[in-house]
Amino acid sequence: MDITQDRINSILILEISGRLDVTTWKTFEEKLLAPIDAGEKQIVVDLSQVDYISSVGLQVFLLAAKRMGHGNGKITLCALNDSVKRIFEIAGFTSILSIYDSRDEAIKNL
Amino acid sequence: MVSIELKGELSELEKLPQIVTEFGQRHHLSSETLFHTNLALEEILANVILYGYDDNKEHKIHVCLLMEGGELIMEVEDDGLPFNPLDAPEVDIQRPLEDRPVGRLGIHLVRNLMDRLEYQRENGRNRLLMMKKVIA
Repeated sequence: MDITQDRINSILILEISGRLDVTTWKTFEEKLLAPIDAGEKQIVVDLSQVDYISSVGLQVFLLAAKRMGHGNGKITLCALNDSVKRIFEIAGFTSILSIYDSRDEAIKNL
Repeated sequence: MVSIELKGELSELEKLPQIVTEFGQRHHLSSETLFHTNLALEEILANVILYGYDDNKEHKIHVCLLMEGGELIMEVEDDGLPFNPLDAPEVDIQRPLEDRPVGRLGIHLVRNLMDRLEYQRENGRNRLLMMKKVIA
């Protein structure tokens, strides 16, 4: 699991790659929550390079969305592959998280 | 058939992707099936390792994967505290973001991704069978 950062004006873009599972989630949680706790208000998470996610990975997104909401910020997700998206759907996360097909849409909907 | 014994430690789960991939290649399973197989095993094993033990002894978990009549069968046998995933309360996935608890999603995913689960408690051991129909 790895995260690379990019920035477009006030928008922080995080591109995640690899597996979000029980052996990597702690690092993922630290890296995703750090910018939120540092006060970032607009975050786009690109998951196009994520090929596996389990419940612990999902829970990090839930925590991140809650924390962003408390700080009046917004986090959007984009470019999930079909297998990963299916897991979000089964978990009922597609109705509570802002998920878009492309990075452009995710940026527009912040 | 693949039959392995894992220690009751989270770091052992790093072995799962390779075990599942090798099994999948041998049986020509789709990447979607491999994803779900890996996920079901990860969720059940992590549950046993994180919540199944109330001592500091070394524990072993037996995992078996086999194909039978177009069905993928996963067996997990452990000596942890009794836990029947079929009895775990349903997660309400309709709740809004703020009311959504962080946790308890693993068993929900397993139930939805597998076709059938069977649980037995015998001789102080949990034995869980997870079945999934596989399209050749």
